[in-house]
Amino acid sequence: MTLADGLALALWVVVAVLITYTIRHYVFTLNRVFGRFRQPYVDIGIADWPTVAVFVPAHNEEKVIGGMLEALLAADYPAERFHIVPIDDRSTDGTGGIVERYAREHPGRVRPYVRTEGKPGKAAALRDATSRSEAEIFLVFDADYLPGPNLLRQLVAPFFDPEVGAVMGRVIPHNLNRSLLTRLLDLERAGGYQVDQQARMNLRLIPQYGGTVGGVRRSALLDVGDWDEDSLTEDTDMTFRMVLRGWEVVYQNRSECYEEVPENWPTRIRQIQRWARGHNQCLRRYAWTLLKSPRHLRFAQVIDGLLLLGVFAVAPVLLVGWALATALYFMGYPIEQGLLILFAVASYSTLGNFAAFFEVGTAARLDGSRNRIRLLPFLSFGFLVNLLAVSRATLSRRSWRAPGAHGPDWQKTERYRGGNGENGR
Amino acid sequence: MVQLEWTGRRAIRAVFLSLLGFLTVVSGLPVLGRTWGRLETWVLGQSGVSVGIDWHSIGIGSVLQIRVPYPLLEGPWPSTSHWLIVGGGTAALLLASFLLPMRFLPARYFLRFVAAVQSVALVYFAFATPPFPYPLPGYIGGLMTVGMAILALVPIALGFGFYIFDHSLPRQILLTVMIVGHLAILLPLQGLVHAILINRFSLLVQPTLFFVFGVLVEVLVFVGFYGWAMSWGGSEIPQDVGTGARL
Repeated sequence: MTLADGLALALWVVVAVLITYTIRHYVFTLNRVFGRFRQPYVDIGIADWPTVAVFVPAHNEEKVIGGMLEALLAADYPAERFHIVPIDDRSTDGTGGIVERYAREHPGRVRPYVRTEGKPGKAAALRDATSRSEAEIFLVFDADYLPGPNLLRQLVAPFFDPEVGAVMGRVIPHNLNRSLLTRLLDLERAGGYQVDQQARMNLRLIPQYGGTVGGVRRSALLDVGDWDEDSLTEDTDMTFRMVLRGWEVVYQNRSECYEEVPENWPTRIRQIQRWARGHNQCLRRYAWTLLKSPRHLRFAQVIDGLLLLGVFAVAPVLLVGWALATALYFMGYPIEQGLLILFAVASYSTLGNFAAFFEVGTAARLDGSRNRIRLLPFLSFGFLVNLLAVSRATLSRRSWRAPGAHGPDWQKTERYRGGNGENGR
Repeated sequence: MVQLEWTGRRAIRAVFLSLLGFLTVVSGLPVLGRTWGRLETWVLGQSGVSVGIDWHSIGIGSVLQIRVPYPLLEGPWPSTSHWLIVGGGTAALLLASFLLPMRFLPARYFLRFVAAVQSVALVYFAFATPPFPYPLPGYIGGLMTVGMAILALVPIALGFGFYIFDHSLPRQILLTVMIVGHLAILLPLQGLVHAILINRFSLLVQPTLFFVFGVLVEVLVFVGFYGWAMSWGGSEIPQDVGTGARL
């Protein structure tokens, strides 16, 4: 075998990986459009609702925490069955003052938890705060999210099924008219939730629990060993620990919560790089366990889990594909054999991977979006930025080494709403 | 929850339209090849490039013989002046990518990507000796041939991604005709632009044209039309797009 043959073989492996993800896009999209829907207990009204503690981890969130608490206080859930726990983790801005004010105005309903020591970071904050709560269900929201009044009931409802360990709602950007980037992120989110997550739910695969709009059952949390303080993305980590221990993770497409997406590219890059590092940490931790296929998992779940874990590792694989194609081109790889493989990488497998556009276009259409779908070609630019940012994060040492004794620090996305604690008024 | 019902009628319609479109395009390729030849001859004449065209023959079994035209232009091996001009252009591109404001980050990345591919070509031609494995006529012939394959695949791709939705038949046909029609005009012009650029700036620019401005252009045109068509109304689209409509 010549060097060129070896490179060509490696390129075919890259193309095979990309085709696998393409098939996944098609299967998910066609299932979302034509498959049977699963949305357990979503419309339940009268019930013996469990006790709920709503945790809002916050580190310097004065711009948004007020709005979040206002939205939660307006929630349609039996008042005597739920309380809110804003977790103020070493904030140096006005977050503490705002939270204290709400606690005074709503005694018993807003019960702040102030952290001044211990490991920093969201997972560590949640571990400390949830260990002090006796509620049956823990809901977790990011401080910049805006839950609608029915959201709490919708998120809690699936827990009537005793096999359910975690529930995830849908995230929708509310600042989408700020820039081209926010509109592109709205399209991406639509594809990810409306199609990907719901199809996983329909197919009984592995919907991902997201720590921004979701909840966990207290007994399940204790069963899997609590939040991992060293996890960079505690939600993905929790998803796989739940699934591996036999708990079901549920996605509720109708449980909408509204978020601020990054309005500028540097913020977006930092966000996606953080996700990539956390996801890769989970890949390192759980891929082998999944491969060993615990008996309670179906083969399809194992495959879906592996593809989900590897989703951020695909970016550098694609870059390698480009490099291999370029090398083969300059080496004069025989055109009869080379043309197909080169074109496969140069068009189909890169920006031209139509399956991703199909998924996003379908999601936006099902959402009732009309003119926004016309931005579809611009997603190519977003993909290019994602590709390079994720590759850089994936190839960095932080993606693969264990966090030090200090643990992961707070990783926050820039907020844009007006501050001074009046944002909820 | 908004979704569609998978019925035999829907499946048959999608498959039938895909096959009909595919066969129609394929059977029209010989005529298209001849039309491209006339178009290329006319454009070359209008632009003052006094060369003729030749034909690259491809056959689909014994059923269909297609002749694909390409201009009789030579892609010269890069001279020192070619190398300096293209090298200067690449440096300018790289510089521009740093001068663009951060809000144009995707454009910055794109310019750097182009510069990176071109830099590899500059390094290659600084050390390589003739001949180049992909001479210009063969390259253009290949581009046109792949272009014809893309044209034929358009109805198949739409079968998966568009015909399955509740659009009226005229709209489904309209989208197919628009994409195929647009690409049918774009492809020979794109091939000519590539040929003239390579003829003027030498084989030095061929790798960049191949990797960045080759088939990707056609794919983006397809996605552009597709995105537009997906915004057209249909019975499965919810009319109320307020809270709760994203079901």
